[in-house]
Amino acid sequence: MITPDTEVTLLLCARLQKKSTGTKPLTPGEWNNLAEVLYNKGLRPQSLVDKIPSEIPLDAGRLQELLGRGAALSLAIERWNQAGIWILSRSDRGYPSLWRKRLKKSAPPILYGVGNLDRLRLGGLGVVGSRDASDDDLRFAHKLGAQCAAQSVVVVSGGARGVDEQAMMGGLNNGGDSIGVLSHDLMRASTNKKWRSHIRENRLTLVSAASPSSGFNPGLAMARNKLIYSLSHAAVVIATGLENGGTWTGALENLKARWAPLYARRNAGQGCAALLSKGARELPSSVLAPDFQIVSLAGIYDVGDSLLIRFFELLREQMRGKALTLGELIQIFQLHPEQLQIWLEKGTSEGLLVQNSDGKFALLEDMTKECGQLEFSLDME
Amino acid sequence: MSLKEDGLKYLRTATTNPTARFRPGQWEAIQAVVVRKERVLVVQRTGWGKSLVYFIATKLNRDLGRGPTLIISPLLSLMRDQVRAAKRVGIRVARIDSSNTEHWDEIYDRLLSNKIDLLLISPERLANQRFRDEVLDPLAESLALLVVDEAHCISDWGHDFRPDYRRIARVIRNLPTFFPVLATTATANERVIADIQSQMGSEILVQRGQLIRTSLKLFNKVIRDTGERLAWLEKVVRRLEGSGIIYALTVRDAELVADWLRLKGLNVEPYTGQMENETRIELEDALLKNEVKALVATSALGMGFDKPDLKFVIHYQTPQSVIHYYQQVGRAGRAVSDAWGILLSGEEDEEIVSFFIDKAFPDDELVAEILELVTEADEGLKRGEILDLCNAKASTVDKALKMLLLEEAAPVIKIGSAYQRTAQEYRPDKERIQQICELRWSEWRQMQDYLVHPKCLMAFLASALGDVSASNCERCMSCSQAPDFFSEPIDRAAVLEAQRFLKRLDLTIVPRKQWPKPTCFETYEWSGNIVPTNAEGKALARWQDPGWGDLVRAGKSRGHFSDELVQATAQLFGRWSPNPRPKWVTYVPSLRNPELVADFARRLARSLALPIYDCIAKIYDNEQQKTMHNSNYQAWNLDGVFEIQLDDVPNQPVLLVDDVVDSGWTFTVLGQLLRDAGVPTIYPLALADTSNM
Repeated sequence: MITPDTEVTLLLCARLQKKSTGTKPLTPGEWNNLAEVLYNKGLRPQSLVDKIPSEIPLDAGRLQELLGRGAALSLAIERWNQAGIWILSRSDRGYPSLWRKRLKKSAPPILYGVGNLDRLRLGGLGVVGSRDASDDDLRFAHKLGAQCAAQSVVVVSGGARGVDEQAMMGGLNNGGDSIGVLSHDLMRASTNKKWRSHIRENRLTLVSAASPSSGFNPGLAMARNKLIYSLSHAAVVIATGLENGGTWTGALENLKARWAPLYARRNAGQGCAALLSKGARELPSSVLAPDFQIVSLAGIYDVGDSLLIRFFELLREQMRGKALTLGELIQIFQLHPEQLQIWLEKGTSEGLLVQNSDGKFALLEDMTKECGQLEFSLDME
Repeated sequence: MSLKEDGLKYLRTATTNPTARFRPGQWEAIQAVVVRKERVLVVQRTGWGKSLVYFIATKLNRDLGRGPTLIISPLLSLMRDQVRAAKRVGIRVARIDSSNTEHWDEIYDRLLSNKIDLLLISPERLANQRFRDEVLDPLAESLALLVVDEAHCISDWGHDFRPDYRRIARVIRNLPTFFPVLATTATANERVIADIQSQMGSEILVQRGQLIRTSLKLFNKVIRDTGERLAWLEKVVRRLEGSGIIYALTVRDAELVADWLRLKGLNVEPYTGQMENETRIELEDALLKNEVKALVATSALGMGFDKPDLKFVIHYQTPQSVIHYYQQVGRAGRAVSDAWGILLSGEEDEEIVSFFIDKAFPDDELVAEILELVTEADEGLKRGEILDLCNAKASTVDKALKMLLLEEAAPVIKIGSAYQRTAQEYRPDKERIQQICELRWSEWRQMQDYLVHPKCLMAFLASALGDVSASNCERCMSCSQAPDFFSEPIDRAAVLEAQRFLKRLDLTIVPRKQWPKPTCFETYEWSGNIVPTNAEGKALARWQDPGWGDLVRAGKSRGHFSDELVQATAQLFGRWSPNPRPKWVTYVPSLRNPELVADFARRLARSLALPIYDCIAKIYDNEQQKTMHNSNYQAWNLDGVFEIQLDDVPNQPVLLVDDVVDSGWTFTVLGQLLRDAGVPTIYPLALADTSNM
């Protein structure tokens, strides 16, 4: 279900078709300007359908034309839904709070994805690297992914060939979880044989800020880097060019914005060495050792936990819309009360479940089907 | 001028009637979509003027500076009628179907320059990605109204569910709430309306009119025997006034009935979905102008064909439900005071209906097989690749693919021309399929009740369609007296003549002209054109037809064809008298059943006084041909199977005998082998033709 606000956001901002002939959709910047005016006037996006306030710093005729794309929108949604793609806007409850909190206005107005949404709310260990990584780098990425899997840590990467794919596959093929933040063509990736079965087994979530059938474009690839970092509780640069390339720019951006603690290896090329001198931390050489705790990379943050996601899957099965007390949950899961408490708190803080006034815990509905909307102000937080 | 005055002005132009007024409901529907931008489902009988509603709505939208209208409509005959009417109001119409791809560029340009007010498409178009990218997308950016014609096709509870309508329902559900939709249908009972509502979003407004046609006189008659039924039909058609439609359930029955009536000197023509579009248009025009007494049609002559003075609709066989029946019989008597709706029932009806019901859903195993093929493929599979890998008819593969694509959470989607597996599970809804089959059978039982209903027939139909208020019609066979010639005994001589006709169908076996792909005949090394081909052949009967079909079937199961069949085939040969005349006989050998055809061919040769030579040997025991379901497999199954084993085969024309012909590949293969051995002309001859079942 798409909320009325999301519908309007899509009409105004989304690229709905392969060759657009008509009016250009709003850029994220233009959308933010518009949203600010609406927010200050106490209006929501859906109100634009009835009236476009004169204070809006955009051509009203252009907005009218974009709002007139209703049929184009429904055709696009029909095609996306067929492929199992969900759509969220910044004002939807299911929108990953990590992005909303860390990126604020530069969080993408619209997200498209396939697979479990809970995973996005919990984040993981980011793994990035340039396309021209060496075979050694690729092997390392794969092993790091496997190490994450062994410790139930979610791998967050970009789904591109090379480092991204190796890290994600290292995790997925060893029973771990992963998030792929794609720069383009979500539709094709979601049907790609290498990802498909992992999505079906609920181990992989693919997400993109770009329209699902959009082709590659360097701007999209750049914008994707900050999405990976801001979904990570710690990030590892496997390989990067020096002073050039998307990985380099993205890593610097992260160092500046401090989304996630950044790690690089010593002796992994000039790019990584330069990052270390610019404030990146050194990735411990023991990182692949069996007793190394990946969680320790996150410092005060914790790393996205795939066990937690399984726990919520089981919770959904058990609760089936009912609310349960802590005692009942302990009974059902046979877990140590302290462990259960930690997970329930985590879930509550990420908005996956609520504790009612009678002390019982209740799950919020599957976020992809969730109709409820957050206060629009959150969009502007 | 007010909007309504403008609307009235357009109504009068469209109908070329300066004093026309809106019928109750018409203006209300226009207002709902143009002014309030609501969603409306209009349930009104054919001829009420649904198309006027969307033409005028389109015109008013355009006057207001809004975008164009898209109409989705399933049938070509409907489209042509609409195009004519729209042009009168000055609406610029474009129509797109698979036959006019060469105009897409031009239509695209006109769409971009805003020179199209209304685009008509068939529902299948929505499945075509090229169409969506190139034509629909630019239109959709400014579309102001969506019209869905024959909206009952959305419901799989309905009598005419079309899988492509599932996509339409989803598109409607995803439209912003402020986007107007007009859905129309002439036939939907309460259950179907409720289903349409739930699929299109329940905020849709239902506007329902009265369905009963007061000019119709209904009459039912059960005549199980085909010969008797043909004789009765001929007598009645001859005496009915005006022109009409005779409906049959299958293409071959439509052709059979037309052949019979023409033989008896009646001016009728067959009309089926297998005909070219142009031919269909010509035939419809001929009926519109009363140049033919009747068209003998399948349901292909359907929705939207509008002849106000149609005087009779006769059903040669009983359709599968009241809605099917009502929709077809309702074509009669729209603008005349008296018209006949006659329903016959025969011994074959239930078998045909059972075939329709069983074949409505693709086979589970085939669906699973296709799904596995697509799942295993690295880059997805194209249609042709799937066909090569499946031993199934192309049409069943298409049906299965369509079903997979249209699932709510599709396990397969099409990207470009490749079918790709998605990450979504596939869970066939067997329970629902079961329920629908049960519903179909209960609808069929309701039709059986209708056939022998002792009270008012119109009231029966009305209440079955959800109109419980209907009183007795005072015109049907129960309410009043039908003419004597309807019920007087059928003339014995006429019945005998019809039965003789059924035994002289003399079907033509058309020679194949093209070899299948080279991989099929790797051993024989045949590909490309077949030059020269076999001569045209003959078949005595259709499999299971009321003439000889039963005897052929009995012969096959007993392992011996009766002398009566030998005699009948010899007579067929006499009527046929091919030129140049065959000088000898041979037959298709079998390892599984070596005597059946050999013995028949020997007796036939004797009665034709021709020599017979056992010149063909079957050197490889292949799978039974009937287990091969598409042309490639049928051909491939015969590769290297036969050999000519006579050193000096007579180099004279030959009669090549087999019991049953289906794809015709066996005759084609043997024909080539015989020609290679020096035989100049090959005449295939079979007892029964099982193709086109």
